[in-house]
Amino acid sequence: MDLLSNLNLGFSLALTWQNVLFCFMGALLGTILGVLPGIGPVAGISLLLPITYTLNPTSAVIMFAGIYYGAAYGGSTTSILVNTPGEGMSVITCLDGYAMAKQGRAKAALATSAIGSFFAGTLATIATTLVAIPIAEFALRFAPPEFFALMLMAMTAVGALTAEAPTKGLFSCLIGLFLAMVGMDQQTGQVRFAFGIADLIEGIDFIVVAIGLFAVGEVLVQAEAISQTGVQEREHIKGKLWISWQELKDSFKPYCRGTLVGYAMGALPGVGPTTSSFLSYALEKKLSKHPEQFGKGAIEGVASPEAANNAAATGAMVHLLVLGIPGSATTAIMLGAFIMYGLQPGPLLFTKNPDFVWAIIASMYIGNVILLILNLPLVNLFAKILDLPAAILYAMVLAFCCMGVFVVRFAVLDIFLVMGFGIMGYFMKKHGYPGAPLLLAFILGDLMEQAFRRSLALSNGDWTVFFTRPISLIILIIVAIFMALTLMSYLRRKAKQAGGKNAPILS
Amino acid sequence: MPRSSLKTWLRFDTMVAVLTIPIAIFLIIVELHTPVANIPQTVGPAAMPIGILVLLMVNAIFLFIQSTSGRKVSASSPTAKPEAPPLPWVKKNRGIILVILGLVIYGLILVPIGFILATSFLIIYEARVLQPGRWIRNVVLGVGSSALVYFTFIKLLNVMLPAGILG
Repeated sequence: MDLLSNLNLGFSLALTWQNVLFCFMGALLGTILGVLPGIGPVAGISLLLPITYTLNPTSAVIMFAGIYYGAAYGGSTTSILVNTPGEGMSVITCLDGYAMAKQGRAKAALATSAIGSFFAGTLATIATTLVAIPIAEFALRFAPPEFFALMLMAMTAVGALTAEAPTKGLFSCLIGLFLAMVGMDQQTGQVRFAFGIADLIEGIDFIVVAIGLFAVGEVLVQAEAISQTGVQEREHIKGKLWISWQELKDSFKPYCRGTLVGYAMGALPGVGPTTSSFLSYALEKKLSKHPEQFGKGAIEGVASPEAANNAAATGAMVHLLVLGIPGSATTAIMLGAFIMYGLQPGPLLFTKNPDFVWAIIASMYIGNVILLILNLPLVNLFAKILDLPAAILYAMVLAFCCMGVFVVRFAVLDIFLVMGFGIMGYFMKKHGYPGAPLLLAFILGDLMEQAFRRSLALSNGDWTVFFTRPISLIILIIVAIFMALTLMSYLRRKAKQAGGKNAPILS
Repeated sequence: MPRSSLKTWLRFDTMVAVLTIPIAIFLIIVELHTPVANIPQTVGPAAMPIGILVLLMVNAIFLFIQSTSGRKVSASSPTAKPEAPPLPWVKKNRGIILVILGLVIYGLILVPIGFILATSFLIIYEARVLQPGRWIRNVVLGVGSSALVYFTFIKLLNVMLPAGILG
């Protein structure tokens, strides 16, 4: 069978000692980054990119994928022990996870989170293995107009769903797109918006934007928090028993539901791990026989969102690998890495570089096993990261950020640019402008422009080309419906707030 | 200008919206005046940036309407807490300003004095800004990690970093 031979090929590459080592390093780093509040997988991958230029792309991407789903495992540890999410995707875990820790059930919360993450991560990888080829075969029919429409869909979805107000998300998106236009145009060689600065002729490097927004900006936010409130105390892990049989039984159905919701949502651009964890929590509360327990330490309130965020993180990899279109900031940065290594993700990747794709997919199975081992017996060790002095830790992160961007092309300008993006990221975060759409649009900007110009070149300048091709038309109709729904829901929310009723977060 | 309307104008969203429009117009003019390469193209290199800038202006108008119309709602909101007396801007943001200042100095001194000294300075300085005290620990960790990174890059990764006055 084709599938088995593909998997066999993938495992034969993923199981070489170097790749297992890179997978382990990625999982370990991802867990550490997940545990640290503020610093996430985007910052981690972008900081590593400049020093992995010389690595074999398969090993590097195996490591990056490990960082991505490792962060989904690690983020929950901080949510449970400190009541501060280590990652955006673990926000909802704070509610019941921290309540459980307060009751002395931190071990059970951590265990159900790790087991749920493993369960969901593995099932989602199996699903990815099964659906990747059929989707890739379908996507082979896509021409530039379809890719343009798909990119538009990814951007509007991420822009509208990650912001408190759609205008702010779309504003971020458009700024990202504009920044992508800076530098030399690939088709004509014309230099745009460089204002005579030699280092801008090549454009702005995506590593600078990612590190600025997601590392420096986050450190500035953390710096403010530390200077205002000090470092938060954490709950300690007590007791011998990890998880009782009853607790495991209570978690099983939420794991399954969380996996389903997470995978389905993760495969949609813009929804991603954070939203799917919120949705699965809401679903679990609705289905529960004792909804009043939610928020007071219900194990289902940890099990289901943790399964959902891991399934969604894996689901989001599908688009990246199969369509070459990322649906989140982390997958966007991975797309940047693919391009940097000379790989063009998309349906052709499966036929041109099957060894690469299947090695990545196989490594996800291995990564999930490594993460379960890392996150169950060693969770105490990771929790100790939270005891490290935050000041020196963040000072070092800032130094690594500056060094990371400097070594890309040895331009001091990049240090000032990363600072500028850091300040921008800080203000954006403070005023509700999401960073993910900006980064996604910045990375997709160039590809989108190429798709746009090629589409019009194919149709001899006829602008209706986007509406006369059925697949492109369907995607654009989805974008329009989606935008209308988002706007309506925003206006309804505003009207409710104006009426004095604050809409509940999970309504 | 009455105090409340001044406050609305000083809102972040309003300022972003108001500043976006002239900047976008300026950038469109710059792009229109850029000499065009003599290559036949169905769609030239100016189309997409100008389209984006126009959309950005439209978005800024919506942002402006949204940020100014929200004023009455928040002002009359029954749950609004009485505001604390405002701290001077610089005092309130002292930590952030000092962190950024450290980065600016780093950018200026990296090449002249070299990676190890500049990075040691950055780590020690930022750690001091974020949490006063613990000098010895910060100096040991700052110098140690800078030297470790420097030699890792030079020896293991074959990436040259500025040696500066120590080179």
